[in-house]
This record gives sequence, C-alpha cells and structure tokens, in this order.
Amino acid sequence: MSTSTPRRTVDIIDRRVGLLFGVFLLLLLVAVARAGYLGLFRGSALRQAANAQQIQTAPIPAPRGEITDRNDVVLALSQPADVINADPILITRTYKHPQTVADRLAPLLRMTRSSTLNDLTKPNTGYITLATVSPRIATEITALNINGISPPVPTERRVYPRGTEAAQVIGWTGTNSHGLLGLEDVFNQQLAGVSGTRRSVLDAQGKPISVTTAKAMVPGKNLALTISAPLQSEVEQVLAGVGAQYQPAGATAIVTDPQTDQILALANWPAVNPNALRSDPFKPVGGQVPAAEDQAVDMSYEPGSTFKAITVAGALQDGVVTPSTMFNIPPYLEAYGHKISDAEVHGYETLSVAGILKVSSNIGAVLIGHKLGASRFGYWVNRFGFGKPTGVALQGEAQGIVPPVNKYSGLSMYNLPFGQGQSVTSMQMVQAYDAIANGGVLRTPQIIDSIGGRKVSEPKGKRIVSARVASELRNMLRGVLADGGTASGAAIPGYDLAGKTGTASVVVNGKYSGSDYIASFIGMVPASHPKLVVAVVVNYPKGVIYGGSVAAPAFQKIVGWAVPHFGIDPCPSPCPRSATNPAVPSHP
Amino acid sequence: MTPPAATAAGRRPARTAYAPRTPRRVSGLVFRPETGRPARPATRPSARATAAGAAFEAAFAPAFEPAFAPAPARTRRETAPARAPSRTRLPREAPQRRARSRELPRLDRVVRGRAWIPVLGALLVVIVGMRVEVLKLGSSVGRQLEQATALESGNAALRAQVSELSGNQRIEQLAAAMGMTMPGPMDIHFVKASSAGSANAAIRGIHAPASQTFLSGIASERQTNAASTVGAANTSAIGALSTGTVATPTTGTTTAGTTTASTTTAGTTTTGTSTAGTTSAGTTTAGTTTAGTPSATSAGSTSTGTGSVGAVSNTSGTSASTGTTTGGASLGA
Repeated sequence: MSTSTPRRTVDIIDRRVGLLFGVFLLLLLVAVARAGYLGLFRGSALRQAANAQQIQTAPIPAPRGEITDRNDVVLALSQPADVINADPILITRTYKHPQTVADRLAPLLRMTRSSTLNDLTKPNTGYITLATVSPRIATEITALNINGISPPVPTERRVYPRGTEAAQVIGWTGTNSHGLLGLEDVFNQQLAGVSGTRRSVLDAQGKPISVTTAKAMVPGKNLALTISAPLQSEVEQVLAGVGAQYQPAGATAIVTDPQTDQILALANWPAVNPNALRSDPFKPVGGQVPAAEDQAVDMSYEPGSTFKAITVAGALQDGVVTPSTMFNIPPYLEAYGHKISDAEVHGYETLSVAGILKVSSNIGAVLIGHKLGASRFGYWVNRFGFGKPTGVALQGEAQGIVPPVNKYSGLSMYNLPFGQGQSVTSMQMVQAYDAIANGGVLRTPQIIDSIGGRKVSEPKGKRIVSARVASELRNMLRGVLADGGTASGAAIPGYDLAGKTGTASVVVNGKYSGSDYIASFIGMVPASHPKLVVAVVVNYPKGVIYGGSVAAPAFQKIVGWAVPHFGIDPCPSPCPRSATNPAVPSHP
Repeated sequence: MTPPAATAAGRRPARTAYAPRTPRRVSGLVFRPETGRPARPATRPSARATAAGAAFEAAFAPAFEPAFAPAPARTRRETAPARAPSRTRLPREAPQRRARSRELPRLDRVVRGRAWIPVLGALLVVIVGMRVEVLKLGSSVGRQLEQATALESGNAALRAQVSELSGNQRIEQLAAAMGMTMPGPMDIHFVKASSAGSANAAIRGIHAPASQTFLSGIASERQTNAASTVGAANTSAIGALSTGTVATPTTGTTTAGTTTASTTTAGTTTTGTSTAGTTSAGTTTAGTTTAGTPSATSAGSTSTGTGSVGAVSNTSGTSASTGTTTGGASLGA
C-alpha cells in the first residue's frame, strides 16, 4: 500500500527525534547536576583555585622617603629591590647535586659558593631568605627556573650614598626598612608611607592582562635636613684628623647658624658606615665610644671653662659686673679643704672680666660667681637651658646633670662657675652660645628643614639676655683668640673670631682624673654679627689635653673652610683691630 | 478457571484496516480531532510543515475527512468560521503584505531592514576589537609597571651615584691626583678690591691658560710628587695646627715659594705672585697672597681668593696658578 511508507518514515523520524530529545534532555540534566555540584559544593574551592591561577595580588611597597641635606643632596634613599627566598627541602629533593644550583646562584647573589650551598642545603628548613637583590638580578634569577626558588618578593633597600657622613644623625633601618636609629627612627612614620596592593589578572602564559590597584600606595615623605653636606663632609674630615692625631675616645663637632639655630653640620668620631655595619656598632671598640653614638646629644660631660661665658653673661645681665670690672686674682682659693687654682701658676694679679675670660681664670670665674650669688647663678644656668633637653629632633638627647640651687653644697659655688660639678651636652652648649651669638635669644636647635616639602616652622625662642649683654660678651670672647688668649693659635688673620676654650678633667671613681680630660672649643664668626657657631668637643685626647691645642685648631680648620664656602664676610666693616692684629679686644 | 482455548478466538485477528487514532505530530500545528482546531495556532506553519500536513491529509483523508479540516493558518479567532484548506492562500496574502508594508512608516522599514545585519556585524567587530584592545591595554599596563619599577630603580641608583660622586673627599682625592691640594685656613685671605687700580692690575694679569703646558706639567708632577701630594692632602684635613704656628709667617713663606715655583713649572702667567695688588680681580680674586702681609691683603672685602698650594707639604709648585685657582675655587665653592 502506497500510504504505509510515509507513515513508517514519520514514525522513525518521530522516534529518532524523541530519542535525540531524550538524549539532549539527559545531557542537560547531567550538565545542570554537574553545574549544581560544582557551584554549590565545590564553588569556594574552585573559586580560590581560579583566583590563584589567574589573579595575582602583589604588594606595592611604599617607597621610603629620602633624607636630603639643605641643598637636596641625597643622604639616604631607598631603591626597589627583591627578596629572594629558597626552599632548601625542595631543592635537596629536586636536585641531586645542589652544588650546581649554588654555582649558578652565587654570582647573582654576590655570595660565596660555599655560603650559598650552605643556605640551600640547610637541613630541616623549608624557607630561607637568601638575599635582597636589585630587580634586574631578581629577573635573572627567575629566568634560571630553579625549583625551590620562590618568586621574588618586591621590597626596597636603604642606601646611604654618603657613607659615614652624618651616619649617627641619620641612623639606619633594619631589614624590613623600619628605622632603627637616628632620624630614620624618630621620623619613621613620616618616612615609611603606607604600602598598597596591586591585583593582576593573568593570561594562560602568566602575563598580566588586567592590572588594578586594590589599595593605593602612599609614598613616604622626604625629609630635608638643615645640614649642608659639603660642610658635613669637611667637618668629618677634620674630626678624622683629630682622631688620628690625638687618639681620643671620641669627638663631636657641631656647626650652626646662630641667627636661625639651624644645624649645618653635626659630626661624630669614630665614624660608622650604615651601608656596611659592623656586627655591633653600639659596642665600644678599643676604648672608644660606640661608633653608633651621637655624642652631641647623648653624651653629658663637664663643660669646663666654656661654661665661664654663662657665668659672665648672668653677671653682666644682672649688672653685678661690667666687662671692665676688675678682680684681684690670688694664686689660689681655698674652700672646705679644697684648693682652687688656675691652669697656669701665677701670683697675685688683677684681671678684668674680659681678661678672666681671655686667660680662662678659674679663680676669676669663681669670684664672679660669688658676686652673682648662688641663687642667681642657678637661675642663669636654668635660663640658658641647662638641665633639660634642648628639644632638637634627634634621638636619645640627654638632659645633663645640673644640681638645683637648694642642693648646692658649700663647695658648689667654688666649682660650678667655671664648669665643674655639672654635666651638659654639646648641643646644650651650642644652644647657649647661639643665644650669645644672635643677640640673646635662646632657641631650640633645628635640624629638620622640611617634611614632605613642607617647611618646618622656625622655633620662636625666648630672649634670655639683652642684645647689649650678648654683644659685650662676644667682644670679650674675641680676646680668647687674640694674642695671649687661650686659643690664640686658632686665630685667622682677617677673621673676626670669638670663642672660648674648655679643658675639663673627668671624674673617675669619684675623683677628678689627672690624665683624662675633655678638650673643647666653642667659637663664632664673625664676632660682630655671627653667621656660624662651631663647637668641637674631644673626649680623652692623648698627648695634648688643652682645648686651645686640641679643639681650637679643629675650629680653625672648619671656619677656614666654611667661611669661603658660604660666602661669609669674615670681618664686616668696621672690622675691629683684633681681627687684623689679634692682640687685645678693640672694645671696650 | 479454564483458560481460553487457543483457538481462533484467542488469536489476534488480522489487521485489515487502520484503526483511527490521533496522528503523531511531525511538525506544524497540532490538530485536535474532537475540536478540529489547532492547539496553538500562534505561528504560521512553515512551507515544509504545510507540505507535510498536506501529505498527511491526503493519506488519511478517507478516515478523517469529516473531522480533520485544517484550520486556517493565521486565524486566531475561535468564532471565525472554519475555512476549507486552500493551497492558494499564501500567494493571495503576499500582495496584501506588500500593500501593508507600503503603508508602514519608514522607521519600521528601517528597523526591519536587512541593513541591520552588516551594522550589527560591524558593531560586533567593534565590541570585540574594543575588548581586545582593553586586554592589550591591561597587558601593556603590566609591562609599563615593570618598566616603571625598573626606571625607579635606575633613578634611585643614579641619584645615589650623584650624591656619592659629589662627595668632598672624592673630589679632593681627584684634585690631589691632579696636583692640587686643599688650601688650609691660613692660606685663604680676603683682599679688598675697592680701588679701580687693583681691578685693572688684576685684569691685566689675566691670560688664557696654556692647557697643554698645564697638563704636561701636571703629568710630570704627578710622577715626582704623588706621594707628597697625597700626604699634603691628608695632612690638610687634620686639625694638626699647633698653638702658635699661625702667628709665624711660615705659611706666607710657603705660599710665596709655591707660587713662584708654579709659575716656573707650568709656564703660565699666574695671577698674583705676591701682593694683593696683582691678585685681585674686581670683586672676585684669584691667587695666593702672602700671609706675611695680612694688613695689606686682608681688609674685609667680599672677594674669595683661593690659592693653590700645599701649604703644609710645600710641594714644589703643585700646579700652575690658573689651574690651581680653578681647582681651588671649585673645592671651596
């Protein structure tokens, strides 16, 4: 029958279509079930796996701020670097001869082959940091495809291009770029910044096809110091010379601009290089003070004769003396069984206040102190800022030891006026002499010029003595460098210099030592309107002990270099006779 | 219970005719025999479906003719009278559609036009292209970041290098290797250049340096005085001046001797061999003056004269005055 064929054909087609439909439906159900299983039960794990394969989250290290001098010379900066980590267990399991791995890595890591091999085969260690290298070296190491060497971790490396210069002031950072010492520590928060994170989507080859910043990085702020790098270098050279010649335990020098109280240089000896630190820079070596110590602020010492200027300043301001007030100076003073004498043996003589400063008479200073009185003397000591930190933004500043007036013994006024029986820091002395130099205003010494490009406000300061008294005192201090003064050897013809020497014996086991001294000199140039104040303090010099012989020449060298460098007129008109013929103070 | 006998009564009778049953749906409309209407006449059957329906109709016409009359393809009204199937219906609708399409607004024609195909294709290409570009951009961002990191690293290294190279000690060592030494504090003097005569004298004393002679002089000195020059440089950095040495005119003697020697050695015309009158040049003064005559040379001027000379070592003519002046100025500046 002709109609049966189409009927069967339609049936067959129908069945096949139905079968196909069923198959597809089944497949669809299977797919749905599989999708449900993957989505519901394994979704989390698979999402993590996908993220790990395709999405990479890397930290963006915040570059640590630079530390520069006042003219943008870099003193400390950070360079991008990568940390290379290794898995010794994996390496020893993968490579039969780890020596070959060490041979390939050692030159790139700048390590010896033996030490590299030791690190790579350290037993029972699953993770070890091999080195911090530059990104270029890290790329080369990655290209070696060593199984067991982890992908480089971006970080940064702190570099101090000037080496030892101002090392104790700047300090240094640890391996995690956290400040450990000095300004690196004090201003760690400003310098550090805030790290960010970067999210990268990788293609099959591992190349980023999409990069987004998950967390913005905030770079650290730059720190500009008031220090002048060339002067700092020169001062350190001078101190190195002092160290070589007198073999002291330590030495420090500070140069400031007294009109602003900005610190232009602050050097210490012995030196330390933060790029190549010794095992323990805080440990004294060979009888010297620790190299890491900033002696300018954290070392207190008995100032000796440099303190006489403070005694005289108080007496002048109180009006108990004038520069020309005469004192009868006996060969010695006796008090409570102690004998007070001068450095040079002399008979009975008469000296003016200017003369007392010029020859640095201890007896004269005691007599001035007696005229001033204990309470007023104590007042002026505190007024000049002794007994409390100056507030300079340096780490570990000591406050010194100044006895309160009510604790004065009968002997106190026989040694305090000439600088014995109390401890001060070099920074405190510089602060006081800055006040004398700038006309009587005491300010906090400033070492930070700007943070993140924003100028640090200058300290206001407070007037402690009148401009007239400061001027009279400077004029008297000219005599110290004049002919017959204790620092006449430090005079420079044509330079209007003023200053004061100090030679203080050190207390050892409760008694003043006859062999250990601290030699110091604090001076200024030009004396009529000082632009520079220079303090040099040398601890325990060997051979020569006097401040005029040990510290004053260093002052001379520093001034002789700095005055032309800064274009300072060494003797502004009218230039006093003492500058060209340094024999007697020209005024009064 | 006795089972039914396996007789003819138990057998299935031979099929002599098709039993009437609901036709399977191949495609197209589903007919319901009881109603004779399509179940879901929502869409117009395709030509193939129509042909299949016609074949089906032709095959089963005797049995179902009264009940199976195909509904009109496009009717949706249940109340409409059933029409006889007609094969000429589609051709009859074409002119109507054409006529209706002529009445459609232009926007409709544009919307329904085939021009959309290339437009959509182009848009697709653009979208894909944009996506590809985004991916490329992302990839390039990664490369740029790497490059930026490398540049930052290089920049930091260069800044460190600049700072390192500008160090005083390094420059002084280089200068010492060239025969220059740092003038000591007693060797630098300030001269007054107030009178026009001094300036004119200084200007007259200025001559172009003979570089060849200068360099050859340095080369010879480097060989002979290398050790003493380095020693002088080291010594100059040391605060070793003992008390009382300044007052004596030893430095003056040294300076003068050095200047004379340098004039001889280098063969250049020097600025200032002895006095301030010949050394000053306007406001800036070059040259070494004798320290033995401080009253004449230092009168509080603004000039900065930097002399040559190893004041401590007294090397024999360390360098010519012109070269020394340049070197000294750069060191002191």
